[in-house]
Amino acid sequence: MKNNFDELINKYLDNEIDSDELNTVNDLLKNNTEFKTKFITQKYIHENLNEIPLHSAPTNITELVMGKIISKLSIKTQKNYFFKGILAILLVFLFITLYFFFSLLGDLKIVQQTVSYIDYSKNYFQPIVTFFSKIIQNDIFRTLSGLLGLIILLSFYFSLNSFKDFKNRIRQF
Amino acid sequence: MKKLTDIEIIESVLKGNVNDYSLIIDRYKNKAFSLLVNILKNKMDAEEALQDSFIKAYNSLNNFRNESQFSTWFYKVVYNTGLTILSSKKRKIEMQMDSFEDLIYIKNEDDEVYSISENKKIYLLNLVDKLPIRNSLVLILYYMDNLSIKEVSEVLDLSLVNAKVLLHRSRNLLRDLLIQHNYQEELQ
Repeated sequence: MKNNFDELINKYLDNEIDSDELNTVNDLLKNNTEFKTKFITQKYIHENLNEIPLHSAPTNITELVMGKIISKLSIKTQKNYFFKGILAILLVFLFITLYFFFSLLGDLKIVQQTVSYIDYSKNYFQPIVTFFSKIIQNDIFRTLSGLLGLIILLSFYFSLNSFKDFKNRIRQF
Repeated sequence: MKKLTDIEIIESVLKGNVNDYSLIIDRYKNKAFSLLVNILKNKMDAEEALQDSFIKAYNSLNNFRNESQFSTWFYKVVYNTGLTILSSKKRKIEMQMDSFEDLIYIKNEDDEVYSISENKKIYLLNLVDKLPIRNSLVLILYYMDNLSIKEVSEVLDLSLVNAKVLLHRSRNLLRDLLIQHNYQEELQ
């Protein structure tokens, strides 16, 4: 009975009571002292709990948090500059190498030597190249690799969107 | 002047106006701090957890989807941060008490609260802080922040039914304590 009282009172407070139960509540309020005591006390609690006092956060919390966020951001920016700098140095090296390569191309002897090396390599690797070209020409292989390529591209797109979003999409799929 | 909504502030922060995040901090700092004081039962730890919560929320703003309210999402971050600190302090056992243990746990606290409370309302409001963690959190989120029981269940990572049971148990516990001190006589 005690649990029944509790259930009825909680249903009443949560606005989940039906008309039969409401009648029961009204009857019990008139005829049952224990129920009445519980009901009045619980109703009082329900009506007063929205006045629970808040604990005041430290006054400087906003400055502290914003300071941490902004200092993290400036470290990130510094990191970006670091990687950009390395990229720029690598690009300079690449251009210098290309410049020397093309300037040496003018020397015919080097070109002739290079061509003969290419011919030698072609003969040496001919059976392997033939084997792989047969596989590549196979329709099933091409379809499968096409599909695989498409899946990889889609995965890349989704993972760029966001990792969480990507996970959700895979789950839905 | 029109008050900016949480979503408008977040959009602005994500566009690069980082300083707008201070509006979110000002808006939620006291509520989040109250939750953390209830979880950790210690203001020093709560202060540290509060900073962590705001920084974690900022770092995860990109993951926030408008599927739920910002407050629900943010309180979940706060709750999880509080739990992480709590488990590191090995006080997690307090979280897992059942209803019978609730009464034993509250008994010692109750005497102290009753002795310092001037009237039934102050007694009731002070008592909320002394309840076991999840019992007080469910009351704070439901009454102070007007979250629906579904939102409370999301924050506390409970099923809807369990969140409802917890709310009812918490109210029943408060009621039993009020009756124990004969406060119901003033209400009749």
